[in-house]
Parts: sequence; structure tokens; C-alpha cells
Amino acid sequence: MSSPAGLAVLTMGSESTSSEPAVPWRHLHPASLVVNLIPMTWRTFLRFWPLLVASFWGRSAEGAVNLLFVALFFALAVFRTVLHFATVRYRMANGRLEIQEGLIARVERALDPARIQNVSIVQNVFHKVAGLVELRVEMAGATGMAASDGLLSALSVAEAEALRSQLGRPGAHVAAAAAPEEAIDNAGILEIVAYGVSEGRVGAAAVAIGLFLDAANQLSPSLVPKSAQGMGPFAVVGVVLLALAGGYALSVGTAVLRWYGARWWRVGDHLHFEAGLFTRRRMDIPLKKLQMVQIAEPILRRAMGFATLLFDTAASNAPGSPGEVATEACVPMVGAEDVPDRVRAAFPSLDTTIDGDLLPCAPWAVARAIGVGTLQWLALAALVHLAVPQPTVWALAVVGGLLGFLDARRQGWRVTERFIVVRRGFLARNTWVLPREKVQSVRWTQGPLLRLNRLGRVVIWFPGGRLALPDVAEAEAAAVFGSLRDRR
Amino acid sequence: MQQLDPRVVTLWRLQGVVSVFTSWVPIYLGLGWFLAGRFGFVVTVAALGTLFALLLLRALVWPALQFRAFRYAIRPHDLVVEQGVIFRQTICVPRDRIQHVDTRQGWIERALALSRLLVYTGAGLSADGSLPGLDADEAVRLRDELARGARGLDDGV
Repeated sequence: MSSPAGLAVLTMGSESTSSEPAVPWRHLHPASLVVNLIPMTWRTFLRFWPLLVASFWGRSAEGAVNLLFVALFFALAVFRTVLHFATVRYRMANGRLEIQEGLIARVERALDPARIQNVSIVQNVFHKVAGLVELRVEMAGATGMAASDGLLSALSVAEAEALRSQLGRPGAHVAAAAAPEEAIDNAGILEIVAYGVSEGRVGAAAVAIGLFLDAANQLSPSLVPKSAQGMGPFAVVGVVLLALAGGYALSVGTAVLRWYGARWWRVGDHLHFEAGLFTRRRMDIPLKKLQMVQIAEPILRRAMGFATLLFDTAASNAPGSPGEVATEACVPMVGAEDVPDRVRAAFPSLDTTIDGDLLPCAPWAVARAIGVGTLQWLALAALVHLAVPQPTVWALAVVGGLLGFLDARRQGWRVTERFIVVRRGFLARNTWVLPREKVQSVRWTQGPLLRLNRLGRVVIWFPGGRLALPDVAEAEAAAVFGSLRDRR
Repeated sequence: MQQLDPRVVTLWRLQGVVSVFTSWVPIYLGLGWFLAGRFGFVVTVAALGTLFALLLLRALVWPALQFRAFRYAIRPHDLVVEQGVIFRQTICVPRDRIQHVDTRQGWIERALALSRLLVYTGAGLSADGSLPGLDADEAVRLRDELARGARGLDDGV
């Protein structure tokens, strides 16, 4: 069985650290039963409320079955909460955090502080009422985004702080307490609203409104026109405005919930992040565990003069396309002029610029991007043409070509002695800053089209994701590949 | 650069043929149902027969091309793998980045005394480097050799 580095998973009865009688096992706070039960019940309600409404509305045998179904899930939520409270035990022993859980399949985890990527303390409203917090410990290359490797869902604040201190700075929590706190940045409410506006969830809102209209049409056909053709021009404009307003409201609401009171600061060699309106999340990332910083600049945010910084550790594995990563911590709004300083706060040894002066992709890569963009939007135009058979629809292909051109022209990259910087995107521009010492493996890829155009692509795998450099001339790509291969 | 054990061609051919007779069955059924309803029995049989023949031909011919394109080298400081017939790829895994190394054997590999070597780094759950079709003893030797170079604790990953 392969397990993430530093995360020993032992089954009871085999090798066990329970031979450490001097350190007693500790249990979750008794209020855990209430603290965890309410959110779990709420989540069950959110998932099954249509069924619940239908069962009360119908008042038929079918409704009773639905109600029984929902009750079954509530019972399951209660059972899981009780089981969690009854079986989770933890202790700090042999310099490691040991956690036992499970009833039938009992599992013991030993989390080595040297391998911990980050420690979070989360406090939702229920925790706040009970004076408790949740402690989450993330390890490298672990169980992905499904769950934390070490999850203690209800601890007193003092207990959680003591554990965080021991895990975050093993053996050095006394010295760390004396380290000065250096504030780096915080986000005001206006900045968070601006973040929400520039995040843009118009598409999601449009889909939601579409589904709502469709459902309303199914329930009461007389109330809603059957199709767009049946709607007058004012109704169409109204629906579009509704989608836009809904999208922005959703986006702003989500941003305020997630990032209210966002601030980040540095204590010694650790970065700290804190944010959240109802659920407050505080994260502690050791600087040396930081794998990459991503600067996200969607077009609207760019126009406002802001960028978002995203910080990745090895705990965030994202099996996706090159450039796709899962983020651990985020600073929602940073003034564009402050971005280099903020990145330098995370990577003090940064030896390159990140706001310009990057090398472009090859001219052929620009032509290729125009071709690919045109083809993609041509396919979209063909689909749209089925619904709206107007010749002007084919103009979308030109838009695709233009976007491909703008995207390629703004691509940039640089490989220095210590860092790799890659920039991509026009509508949603992203810049990634990756220390070379974090590179795990390097790939050189060349498909038939790249070969035909004498281009090459270098893909870098690092803990937490992978990053593709823009397509460059074959010889240049080979030189970069060789440089990264021979010396990290 | 070294080549894989030539028996890997037989392995890939057998795996390809098994796939033609198993994992492609839902495609045959779906396509057959679609074609039979529109073009009749003869066209359906001809289309499915052609597809089956092409897949079988690919299963028998492609492995030889894959074998020719696959090269690897275990150097003092890294593992280098070159692969791909149409999409060429060169993978370089520094030895001090290796977290752990696995060897695996399926039932066909066991029958041919072959083994697969999987090299993992801190980059994620999937193997960063994979050497299929190694002689079983050679795979164990390489696994031990690469594992010796694997890194120690607390490296910032």
C-alpha cells in the first residue's frame, strides 16, 4: 500500500503506537455532537429540500416515501456524527500527531510535523457559539481535495492553538511566540465586493435562471413562454439583465462570505492567512512548504488595477491539465503595483521580475493559437447556428481567432537561476511563479502539429500540480528542457 | 539509451487483443444498434467487421512501433524516458526527487515474466515515470537501485 510521505496509516492490531502509555489519548470536545450535528443536518437539508417540499406538497403515498427517504438520511447524519465523536482519539506522542478513528475498520494515522504542508483552524458559527474550532492538517501528495489528512472537528481554542503551535513549528513554539508579527496585507469590504464583481458568475446564474424557467414551464406552462421565440424583445432583455444581476449578486455574496476580513501576515518563517464571515478559516503555511504562487488577473479585475494571489503547497494535488492547480490559500485583492512585493514576501529569494519583461512564445505559436481559437469558436458557432440560423453567427469564429491571438501575444515565460515564471491568458490572465528547487520532473512533448511548426513544449511537474511553458521554437524548448533537467 | 525487453511487444499485443474482445464490446453493441436501425443488417455487419479488423490490426502492429519509440536511461543523477509514436515525449525525473518506486505485475506480465516499474515523486498520486515490460528480475534490481537514491525527510515538499 502506498501512502503519502510522512503519513503512516496503521491498522490496529498490527504495528501500533499505542505502546506509548505515558501520553494519554484525548477525545473531541463533548459539544462536538451538537457542533457537527447541526451543519451535517443542514447539509442534508440543502441536498434534499426539493424532496422534502414535494413530500409535504403532495401529501400522497409517494410523499410519505420521500419523507421516509429524507428521514433515513437524517438518521445517517446523526449516526455518522455520533460515530465520529465516539471513535476519534488523538495525542501528540513521539513528536507526531497520532489520530485514531473508525469502529469496524479502525485506522490510526501518525502525522509527522516535518511532512505537514499546512495547518488550518476553522471556526463556523456553530463552533463560535460553543467556543470551539476545527483543526485541519494537510500532508503532501495526500488524499487530494476530498478531506484533510488530520481532521479534529471540535477542539477548544486553547487546545487547537497548542497543537498548531507544536505541528507548525515542531519543538520551537516557545521561540515562535517571541517572533514579531509582520502584517503584509488585508482586504476591506469594498475590495471584497470588487473581487466578487470581477469574479463574474454570470454563466452559473444564467444556467440557474434557465433551469428555473424550464422548471416553471413544466409546472405551469401558461405562466412562462415556451421558448425564446415566444418571448418579446423586452422579455429577452429582462432575462439577460436578470442573469447578469443574479450572477453579480451571487458572486459578491460568495466573495463576502469567503473573504470578509481577509488578512495575511508573517511570523518568522511562516505565512498566516485568515478570512471568512460566518466560517472563519485561519491557515499557517511554513515558507519552505510553499510550492508556487499564482497571480490571477481576470480582465475586469485587471481593469480595476487589482490581482488575486493564490498560494499552493504540496497538499493540493490537482490531476488536471497543465497549469491547473488546487489552491491552499488566497489573498483576494492586491493592488497591481503591490504584487511584486507581495510575491517577494512569499519568496524572499525571488530573482526575476514578474510584471513584464518576460520572453514571448514563438511566432508560429501565435499563428497556431489563432487557428485553434478560430476552430474552437467555429464549433461553437455551428452549435449556435442550430438554434439561431443567422449567417452573422459565423462571425463568432473571428472572435475566437482574435481571442487566440490576444492570448498568445500575452503569453510570457522566464527561467532564471532560482525561479520559473509563466504567464498565460487574455480574458483570464494568470502568472505562475515557481521555485526551481520545487521541480519534481520535467517533460518535453511534441505532437505532430508542434513538430510540423518546429515548436516544442516543456511541462514541469511540481508538488501540487503541473505547469506548461508557452510553446517556443524547438531549439529553445530543448535548451530549456536541458537546463531544467541538468540543474534544478 | 536502453530499449525495453522485446517480450513487451508480445505483452502489448496480448493486452491489445484482449481489449478488442472486451472493452470494445459496448461500442460494438451501441454502434450495431444505431446502424441496424438505419442501414440494415448487411451494412451493419460490414461496418462492425471493418472496425473489428482495424482494431485488431492496430493491436498487432502498433506495439512494434511503440517498442521502437520507447527508450530509457538510468543515469547517475536522473531517470530519462523517451516514448510516443505520434506524440513524442521525453520525461526526466531527477533521482533525488524520487519518493518511492513500485514494481507491478498483471496476469499477462506474470505469464511472460515481465514487470512494470513505477517511479513516484512529490508531484502527485500518479507515477511520474513508468517503465513497462522490464524483465522481472531487472525491474527489482532497478527498483532497489532507484529507491537507494530516494530523498530523505523534510525537504520542503
